Amino acid sequence: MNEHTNKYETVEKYCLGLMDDKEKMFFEIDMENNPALSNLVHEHKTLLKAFDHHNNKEFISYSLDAIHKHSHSHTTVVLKHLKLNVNKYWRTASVAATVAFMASTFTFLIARSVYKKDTHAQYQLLKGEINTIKKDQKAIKTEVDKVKKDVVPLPDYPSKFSGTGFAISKNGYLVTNFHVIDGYTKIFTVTYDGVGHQSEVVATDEINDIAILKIKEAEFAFDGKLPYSISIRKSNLNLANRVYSLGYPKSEIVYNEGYISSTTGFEGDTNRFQLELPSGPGVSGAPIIDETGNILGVISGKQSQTEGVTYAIKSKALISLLKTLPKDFTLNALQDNIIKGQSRSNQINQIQRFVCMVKVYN
Amino acid sequence: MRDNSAQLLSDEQLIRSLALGESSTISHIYKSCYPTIEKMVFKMNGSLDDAYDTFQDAVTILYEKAKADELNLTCKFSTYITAVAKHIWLKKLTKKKNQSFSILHENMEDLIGVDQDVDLFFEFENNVSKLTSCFQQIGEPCKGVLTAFYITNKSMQDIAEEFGYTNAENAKTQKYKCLNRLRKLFFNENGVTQNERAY
Repeated sequence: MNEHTNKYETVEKYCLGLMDDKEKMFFEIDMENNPALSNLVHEHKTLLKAFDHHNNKEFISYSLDAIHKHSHSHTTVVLKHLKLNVNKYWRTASVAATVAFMASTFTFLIARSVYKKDTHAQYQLLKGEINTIKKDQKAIKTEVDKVKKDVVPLPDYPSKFSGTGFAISKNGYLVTNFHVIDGYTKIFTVTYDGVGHQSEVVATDEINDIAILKIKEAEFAFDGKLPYSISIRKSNLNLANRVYSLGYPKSEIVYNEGYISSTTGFEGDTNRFQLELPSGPGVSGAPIIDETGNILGVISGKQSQTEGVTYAIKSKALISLLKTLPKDFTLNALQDNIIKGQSRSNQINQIQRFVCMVKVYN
Repeated sequence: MRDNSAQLLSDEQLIRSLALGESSTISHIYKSCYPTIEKMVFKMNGSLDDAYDTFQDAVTILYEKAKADELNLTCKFSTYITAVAKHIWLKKLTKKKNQSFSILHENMEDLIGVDQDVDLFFEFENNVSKLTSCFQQIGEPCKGVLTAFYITNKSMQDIAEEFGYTNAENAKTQKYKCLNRLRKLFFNENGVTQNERAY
């Protein structure tokens, strides 16, 4: 019993810092060799601290209570003051409140009507509607070519719509949007040299808005090797990744660049992604290409309210459709690209020869 | 700072006299810091009682740090105590509403160490409430003896007389026996583990 008392007394003496240096040193050596003692010290300290904290709090509480009871609450005084002011100026205040209410009601009504009007046009397909004939140099050249080669000529009346398509094989397979060719059988692909080639639809995915075209001419071949590859890697779809596109919003090819602004599309569509990239009618079906020459997707639409917001179909959906194509198509040519390390203008120079205008006629 | 004599007090002097628990200093802290803290807590969905409780907690933290000579300010005393109070109140709010107030946290003037000070404070608070519940279980005379020694600071001689022990030495033996029982209750042997903390 006495031994116990002694032990506790020593522990308490140590915890309260009442030991002299020599005693303290010996005790600490003891503690190092005896984990049970060390634990006891730790527990004792915790208890002492709890007592101490209790006392400190009581002391502060006691000291402050004495002052607090005799003080006016600052906040209460402020509140009373405010109340008086309101009573004094209630007439002004009520007029102001009425005006504010009316103003907010009108704003709400106006905003609502504007919003209603816009919901119909939130999603705009980028199909260029062409109503006037623009006989440019290319058209003239086409006329010449038509005479030279014995192929089906471009109709001599205006096309109904136009979009963009890009080659996925040397032998004339192309990708465009389903909505560009939807309902039409008279389809022409105008290649970079301005020559129109009659094309047919070989595969479609209406939900993902993709169509695969094939140039009908048996001996047709694109000039050179396909410069780009198609990537379905998720890491290429990271936010802020820089991308560019080539399309035909007019009769000449147009280059645009931007970045990935969201990994989902319109209203959270996971088959698409969102770009901050200028787009206009006619670029439907244009490829989205990253800095290393990978095709990440196909432009399909834009948000009409916000300038610059463009949506594209992910290449994942495209690949699934490509797998259904006949045997004369192979994915091998799209697995790697030859423009990876090249400058942007070099990349464009090669890619533009594989990007075409797709025209549909009645 | 309405009090002229207090105005002359530097923060350093203020901390030194707070460590000694001087009532004039505590009064000065109340007068110069409480209005700001009351308004702040009131604006952050607190009642006036909440504000006063929070202020008491903040002063306790500073008092304990000053006593332990651990209060090394890197800013004005009033700024520091306001930051401490804000942290305390946010923690209480978080607990009360069971949600995080990270938005408020972001706008907060973050002073080094305030977070740890407040965490430690809540740990002590939790230990005190555990101690109180253990006190209900150790029974008399232990409760009385320990209270007399550790809380009301009575001498062993006085305790021996009050509780009827033949001498101070016997009282001391009794005190350690009681303390041992308390310790066992407090740590693990009560089903309450050390890790069970409110904060």
